[in-house]
Amino acid sequence: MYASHRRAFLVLVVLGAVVLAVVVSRGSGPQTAAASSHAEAPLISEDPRADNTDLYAFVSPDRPDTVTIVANYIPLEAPASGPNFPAFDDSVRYELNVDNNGDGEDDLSYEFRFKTVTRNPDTFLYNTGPIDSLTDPDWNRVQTYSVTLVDGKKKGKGKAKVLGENLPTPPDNIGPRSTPNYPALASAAVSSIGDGIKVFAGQRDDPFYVDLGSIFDLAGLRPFNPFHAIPLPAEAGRDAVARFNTHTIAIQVPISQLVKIPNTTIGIYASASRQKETVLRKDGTKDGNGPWVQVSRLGEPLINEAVIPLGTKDLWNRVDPEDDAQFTSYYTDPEVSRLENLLYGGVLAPIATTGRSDLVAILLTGVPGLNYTGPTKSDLLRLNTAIAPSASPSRLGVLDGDFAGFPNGRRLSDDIIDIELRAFAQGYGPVLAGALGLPNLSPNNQLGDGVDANDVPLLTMFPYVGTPHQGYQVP
Amino acid sequence: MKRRLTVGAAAAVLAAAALLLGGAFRGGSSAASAPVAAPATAESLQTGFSPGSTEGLVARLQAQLRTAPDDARALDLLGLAYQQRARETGDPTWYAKSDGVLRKALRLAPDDLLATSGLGSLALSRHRFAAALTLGERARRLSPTTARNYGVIGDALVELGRYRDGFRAFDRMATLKPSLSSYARVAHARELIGDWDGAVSAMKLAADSAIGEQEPTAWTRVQLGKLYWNRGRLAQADREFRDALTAFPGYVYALDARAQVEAARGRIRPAIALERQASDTIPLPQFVATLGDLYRVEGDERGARREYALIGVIERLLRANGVKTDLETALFDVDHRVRLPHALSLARLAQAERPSIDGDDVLAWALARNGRCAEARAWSERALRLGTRDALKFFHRGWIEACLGDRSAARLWYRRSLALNPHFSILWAPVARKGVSS
Repeated sequence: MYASHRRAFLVLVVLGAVVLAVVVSRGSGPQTAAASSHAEAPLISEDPRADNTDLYAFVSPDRPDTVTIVANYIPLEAPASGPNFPAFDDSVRYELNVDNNGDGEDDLSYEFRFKTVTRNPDTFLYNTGPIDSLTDPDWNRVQTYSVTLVDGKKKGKGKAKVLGENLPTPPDNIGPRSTPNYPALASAAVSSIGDGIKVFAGQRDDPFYVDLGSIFDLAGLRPFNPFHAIPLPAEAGRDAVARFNTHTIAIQVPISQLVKIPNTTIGIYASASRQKETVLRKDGTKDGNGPWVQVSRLGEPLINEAVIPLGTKDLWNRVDPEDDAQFTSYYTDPEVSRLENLLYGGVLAPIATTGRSDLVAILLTGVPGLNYTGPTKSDLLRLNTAIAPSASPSRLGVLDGDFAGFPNGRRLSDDIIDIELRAFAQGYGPVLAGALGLPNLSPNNQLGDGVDANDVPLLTMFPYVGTPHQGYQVP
Repeated sequence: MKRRLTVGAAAAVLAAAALLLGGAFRGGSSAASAPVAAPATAESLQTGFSPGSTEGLVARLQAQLRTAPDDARALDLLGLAYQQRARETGDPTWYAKSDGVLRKALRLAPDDLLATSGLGSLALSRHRFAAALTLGERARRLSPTTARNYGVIGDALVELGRYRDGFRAFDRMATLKPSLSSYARVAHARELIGDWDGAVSAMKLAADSAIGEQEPTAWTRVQLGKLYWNRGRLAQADREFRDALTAFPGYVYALDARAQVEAARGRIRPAIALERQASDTIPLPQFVATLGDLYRVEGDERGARREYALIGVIERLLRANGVKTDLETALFDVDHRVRLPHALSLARLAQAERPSIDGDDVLAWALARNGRCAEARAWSERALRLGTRDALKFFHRGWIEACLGDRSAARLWYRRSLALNPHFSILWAPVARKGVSS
């Protein structure tokens, strides 16, 4: 009995580590806290407001002729974080990029820029009375934004068209006195900007879910508690990202504007860029007008965290997906799998540590017959827009035979932790084993943290992401 | 705050899992049954963690290393956490501890990027700039695309007086990853070359990118405030310092800065209270010296002497933990007429090791106060070679000109220094004012 317990424990620990690698680094790069000599400037900064935590893309269930793209920035916002409630950064350019011909380059780029106005500089307060509407004078720190579509950015054509300006954002959800009737404020901040396009930018509930609490406790997974080296009764998982907010940028665009027929699959990534400032400015260069440099990007979930090694992260975040072939070896020979194998060695059937073409397909080229975009390897969230939304979505997406879910795009409800746990462990489940011959190791194909859904209900209409938690309710 | 705790906790679990993995792999069942250290990764060494949380982090990493003493990753993190403790407490014994664990990490994993750049930043903190440069270069070879390596290299080069190369390193850093870290360095460099507007705009970008993080926000606000202060913009400076204290209550660098604002407004008692609070929290030599100066201004010579006497003790402690303080000691001694000939030889030594414009300026000042004003003038010229607009360096030059008998040149420099910031120094601004009117 000991041996089998031990074995189960090892498996869970390994997978726990994978999950953790994944979760821990959501929204944070490596960082030293060291000081420099004279000016003592930090050597690295976390930069939460330029930090892209999650990207989702799906055919809109209530408008199936459109695609919705949701990009979240600013990780783990505590709802009661006044008086400086979180907001987008006016000096960051936020970008949602679409490749529609499989070459990895962005053919369409929706750029979001924000502008903060402090209506009354004599108070540090966010608001001086209830905010009843988006134009309420009691709301002191207001943020608006513009949306610009850049067509063929990478090919130098770069036709930029302003789609919307001075668009409203909702206030953060503060409490029943400051932000009564929050859902109405939020829905008033959905803007239609012509050509059937809708946009939203503002605070929402973070739809990501994971049982950190149990994983923290000796890498446990509650449903598997009896098999742990220190056994406990099995329990349901508990969502540790519950009660945290994030800032969402969402856009809904008619499919016809996104795809390039005959291709029906589009590749999407979100990014954030900052302007480069150098010591010696060239003549004529004005302040703050340096060229934009991408500092954060996100296509498939967890690549920066679980695939790209420490010394390569700055480079990876800076380069564009069309240049991702240089990182292929991190996918084919993933560090995580080496670690797994080390621990599985002699105990379980070994997991392939080289030639992981399964990961290359899912994460870099798309899966043939589902969302393959060609041989160009690029980290994009690939969505086949010809696949209709599922009437009864499965949290396990394609692993469970629901082809409208991850890795065909990513819905807000998809259980990325469980799916990735199983994919890393080569437990792809019977559907993919049958259809594509992917490995289906057992019991790896049963793994999960026991948290299967978000704490807050999703909206049934754009922007779909749930109402943010109130500071008043969640200290 | 909560968010940071969560991130820290997540990091802790990862490390715990790693520990367990390591232990399990070594086949020791003891690892699985050992008390669990819930520790941290680089991610929990993020900016903005409060003193309490670093303390907890250190304890957890120490516990983890008791179970698995050869975990290079944990050693890296502990080494960096020790450096953060030094920042927070001013206790230089953390430097020696950081040194020990980072060296051990490097013995276990000679190509460890984090240990290498961590030793680089430690060398910077200890004012060992040549060593920092070597380590920064080594880290760069390990990962030429990691922005922070160029921060270590650039900081070292600037302190070694190799400005052109240093600025190039900052530009490289900015190209790889525009961020708080690179914006702040670019701001500092622009200030050095006299581009104050450019420095302010870069530091504002740094402050923007720091929002949401406690210590970085406080740090950038204080830096921005100091830029305003250096141009005599008291109210603007004070607003930044107050913002820093709102973001990070009790932040000592903001307390110190606010003390100087109060002193500039002629409110010596509130100034003393603020400086006292700063130096009680972190007895950094510059805080204690300022406190002494404030007592002296108030006419409390005993209080002043008491603080001044403390400086020697603090500096000995710094030296015992590997921090080079020759330049700072020389400046204090020269300012306060302590053993002037010895201060001069100390300044020479310091300038040779740290041939920056600060090294040049302190040497110029030491020579002048020893009556060797012709020599002093040449060093003062060197100190101003970048076009830096620094009231104290201007004042030193004026004093040197006066010593050489050129009263009109002296008045010109004094006027320049006061025009930049009429309150540039508790000790010397009054002297400059007198010099202008004489």
